[in-house]
Amino acid sequence: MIEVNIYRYNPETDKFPYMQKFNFEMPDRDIMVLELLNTLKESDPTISYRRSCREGVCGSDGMSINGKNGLACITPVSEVAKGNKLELRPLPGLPVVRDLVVDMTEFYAQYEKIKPFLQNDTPPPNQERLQSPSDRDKLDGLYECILCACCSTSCPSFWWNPDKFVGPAALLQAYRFIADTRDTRTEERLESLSDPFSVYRCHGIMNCVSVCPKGLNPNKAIGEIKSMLLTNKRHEAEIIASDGGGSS
Amino acid sequence: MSGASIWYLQRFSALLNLIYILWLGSFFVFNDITFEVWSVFSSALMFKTLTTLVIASIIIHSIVGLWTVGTDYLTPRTLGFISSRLGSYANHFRLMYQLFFVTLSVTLTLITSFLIWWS
Amino acid sequence: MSQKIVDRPVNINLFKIRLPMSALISITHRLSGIYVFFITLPLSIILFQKALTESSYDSISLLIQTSSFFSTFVYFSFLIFLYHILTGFRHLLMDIHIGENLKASNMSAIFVISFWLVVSIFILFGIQI
Repeated sequence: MIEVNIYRYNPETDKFPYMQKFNFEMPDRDIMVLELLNTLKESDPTISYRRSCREGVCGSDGMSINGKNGLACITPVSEVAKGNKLELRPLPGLPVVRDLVVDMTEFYAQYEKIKPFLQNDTPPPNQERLQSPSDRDKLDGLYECILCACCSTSCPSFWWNPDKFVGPAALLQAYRFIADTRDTRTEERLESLSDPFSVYRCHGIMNCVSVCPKGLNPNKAIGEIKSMLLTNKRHEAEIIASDGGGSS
Repeated sequence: MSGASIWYLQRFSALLNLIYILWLGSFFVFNDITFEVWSVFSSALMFKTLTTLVIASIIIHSIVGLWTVGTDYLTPRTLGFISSRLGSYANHFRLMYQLFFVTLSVTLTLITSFLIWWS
Repeated sequence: MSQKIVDRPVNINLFKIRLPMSALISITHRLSGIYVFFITLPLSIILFQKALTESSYDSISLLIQTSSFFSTFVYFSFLIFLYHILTGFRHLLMDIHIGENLKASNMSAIFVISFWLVVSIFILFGIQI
């Protein structure tokens, strides 16, 4: 028997959010938190949460599970409900729309701000812009982000300044394009991040790394951006990209 | 100021302060401290000059740090988490806070310089 | 934007959010910095002023020796200063990419706190001697 405490808030009926307790009988096998929620929803259809792929690739069901952000669909109940207590709260810092659903507008705004698309002013080749295997390797640990917001909503700097500090997720993506050998606007990208708030509010708290469900390291990517901002060292990638080619 | 220059200021002042504290600290650790011993040490020109420089470095380091703290917590959003009334006054609180610690910093610098050079 | 915040609640209850070692080190580093500026720094300037003449030096030494409250206050203030220095040093190392992965940062966090505790106790006994 698991005691499940869920954050509830219905803007149409509630003035303030409150915690609601449910008793959940675990089946004879281990299940994911998402399945637990789906089962609870059968008896209380008003419980609201986002979900889609149920396999950890869409990023819809990010939430705070016993105080730590994660994806409900790939978090086994046995792993988190130590002591038979499970507390589910919405991702921290973002406005709550209803129950476990948060308003992701600010999160997406920062993602948009860093221009998450390839920018290459050289004339397009006949087929695709070539990239060697070693250049493609540079994107590993960066492209896999599913924008679930677990990292940014675990970051205190993002809680205090979600409009000024870009946040770990968007900074990881900013670096994904800076590191991409096919992108030629590295200087512009770095220039747009050079103010005191966009990148420099990262103090190495490392909550982002500890919660990322895909095992990514935004802190490391931020460190790379900082290195590029603080020194004039640019990766080989950029020098090669400006020659118009993609091979190394 | 660019983010990079503030970053460098903070780290540079931190290193300078660290070196000074290690130097001063080792003096205290490896010497029997009496009034005479301290007087001789602290009236040396080397001590006076270094200390004056380091006070400036400490103040710069503090101002950057305290500014960062203010722009995290004394904002409409963060204070707004507590109450929206508090949030609406946040910018005023932050300005007052900044005036306060800058004034305090300048005062402490002046007092210390006076104590070092004019007593 | 702020209208939305006023209309909607936010889950920002810090007691309900699990903070790993690195996060605790970060916030205590900040708190220690504030303490050092507002308390340890003015205290140091006062002590410096007292040490300028023999009579005031003697009276402040007497105060430290006789008042356990004052001596504890001074000792504590410099301990907090030491904490800020040690966690700051860890910060500087991370700035040059030493200990940037999660495991290393948690280990360095534990190391810094343990080192600080050991040195604090060491200094306490050193003063007794």
